[in-house]
Amino acid sequence: MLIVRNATPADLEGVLALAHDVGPGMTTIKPDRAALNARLEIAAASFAGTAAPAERDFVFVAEDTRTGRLAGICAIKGAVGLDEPFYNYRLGILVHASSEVGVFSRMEALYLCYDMTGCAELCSLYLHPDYRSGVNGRLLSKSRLLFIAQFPELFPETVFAEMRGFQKPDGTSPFWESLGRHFFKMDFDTADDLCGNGRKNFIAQLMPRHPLYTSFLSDEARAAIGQTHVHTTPARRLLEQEGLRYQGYLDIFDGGPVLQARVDELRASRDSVLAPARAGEALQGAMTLAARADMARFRVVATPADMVDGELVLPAPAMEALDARAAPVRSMALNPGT
Amino acid sequence: MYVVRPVETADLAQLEALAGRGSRRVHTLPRGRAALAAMIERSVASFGAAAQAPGAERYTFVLADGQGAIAGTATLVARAGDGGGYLAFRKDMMQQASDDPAVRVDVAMLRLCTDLSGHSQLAGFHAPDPALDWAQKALLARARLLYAALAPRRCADQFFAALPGPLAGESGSPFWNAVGRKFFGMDVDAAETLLAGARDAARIAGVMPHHPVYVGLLPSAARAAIAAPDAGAAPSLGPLCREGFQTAGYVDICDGGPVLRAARQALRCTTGVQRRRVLARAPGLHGGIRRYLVCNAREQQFRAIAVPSGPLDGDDAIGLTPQQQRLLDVGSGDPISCVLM
Repeated sequence: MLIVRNATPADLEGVLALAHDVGPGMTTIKPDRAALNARLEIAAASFAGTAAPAERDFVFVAEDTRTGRLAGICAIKGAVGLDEPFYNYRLGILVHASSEVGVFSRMEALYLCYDMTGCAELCSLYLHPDYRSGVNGRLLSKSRLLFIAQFPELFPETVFAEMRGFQKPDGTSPFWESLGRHFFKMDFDTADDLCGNGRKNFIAQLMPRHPLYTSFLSDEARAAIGQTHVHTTPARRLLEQEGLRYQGYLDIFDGGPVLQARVDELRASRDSVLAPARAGEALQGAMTLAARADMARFRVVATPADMVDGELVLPAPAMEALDARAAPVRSMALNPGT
Repeated sequence: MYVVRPVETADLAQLEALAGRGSRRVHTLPRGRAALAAMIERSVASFGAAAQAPGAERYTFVLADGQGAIAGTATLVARAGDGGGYLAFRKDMMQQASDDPAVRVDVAMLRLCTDLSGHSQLAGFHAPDPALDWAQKALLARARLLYAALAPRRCADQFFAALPGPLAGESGSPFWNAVGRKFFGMDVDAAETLLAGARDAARIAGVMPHHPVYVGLLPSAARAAIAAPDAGAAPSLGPLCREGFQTAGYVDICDGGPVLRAARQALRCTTGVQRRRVLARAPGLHGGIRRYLVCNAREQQFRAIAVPSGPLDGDDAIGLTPQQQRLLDVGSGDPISCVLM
């Protein structure tokens, strides 16, 4: 069984091992011992309530309860863009018209914006291939939303996630080739790596200053706007089930979509319930995400469960994994509509 | 022997025939009898007006041979964009640099502007007859500037001329296809017909790109067309440059053709003009090794011709044959202006 729980500095070796497996394409998890150690320290301070709002970085790990091995990682940044700029493109509509000459054109333009500043970001999601089966992916991704639903006072109004953008089978990004390359004069991977290493100043220095008409991009670049990488499409679907939506914000490098939602409109905020839990036989057995609802020992499992007389009834192993005798449990159906 | 004079109402039939000849670029002469008649009427009214400052006047000149056959037209617009601003693209460059990594990028942009509004404009040059030589074309082109020097109150202190940009066969203008077409949704011929040769901001600024066009994002054929004159227009470039015009970083909004600009004080027709008196000269003898543009000194019955002559520097008169005097509608002792061609 997998549990998702708060990461601690003691998880460093396990997280480092995961980071080695991540590979390119994910800039927020690099196999850098010092950086990961620092991040885990900040996570600990975040869970302890001693981190400043701009610093908060809630990192979670998925642990295999049988072996103790770390199977995955995910995180919520409390607020982005407060100490360095956080860039997106916003896809806007311009109407170019003149009634005198009878022309009416609807044009799309990309506006460089900082609209995610101060918003919380769902990020750093990685599940080791050995565990990509059953409910594990859903457990790992959605566990964070139960955390937000349980502790809404820690979060701003909006939460978002940047999805990796469309790439061709040869690994190139048509959006980058048609746009970014002209302004940055480097490969996509170079730019992406610089960002991952925190060397983001070049973005401010080289970004186009004015809105860009999408009609000046190549056809394949236009088609890539707001499209996810084929490997990221399942992750996008999961977040969309939870109420996050693409609303025209894009990654500035690969044109991947930003999915966003108001915290109070997340399914987890609206539909999850807080109740005492007990071990028993879950007769109906609907798959449920259940989270031990205290900050210091927050943990989530995916398990069949029933709500009986205001109590959540869990199979004994799940109850044991949550160690929830002393704390209430926040739960919701794993899949919406069930 | 050719003479340049203001267009007259009686020229309509000849202009109709002339308009049908030559290139398919429509902004040289209006299409259709009614539009041509309106152009003539406007020009006649403009010459007739006692303008104290440049306004809505459009002066159209014709190049006629000794028998009165019209071989070309050229227009001087007193104030470009009088309807609400003359639109052009201004070429801008922003240099952006990053320290880490060390990258320097020259970001070229085209920005829509109305900087040329209020300038006087050389427009509507149309001389399709291949038999015309450079001197005859230069006479037609530069007579407008002689007129401007003669009647400075009628013109602005700045002049410009937009030369046609390149066309690529049937596919039309590569610049238009990459830029204007995205906004207008039509080909360049349809757009030129719609605009009737104007670049009127009040009518079309709403359609054109509000934000800069990043040149680096355009296809290479469109980039190459920026500020490049069409092969057919290239012969105009040299004479205009010798006249004092310079490429000034502006290009046409439709085909990307270069806009040449000059201050009045930089024009040869202003700085090099020599005021002389007419001296009768017997026909038959060659006038001299130099060739001058010569015009009479009348704002209404303006006439200009090209005259071979010896150097005028030391004289206060220029010898003109009876035919030359007749073409200029002048007699002995009348004041005239001369500029070395």
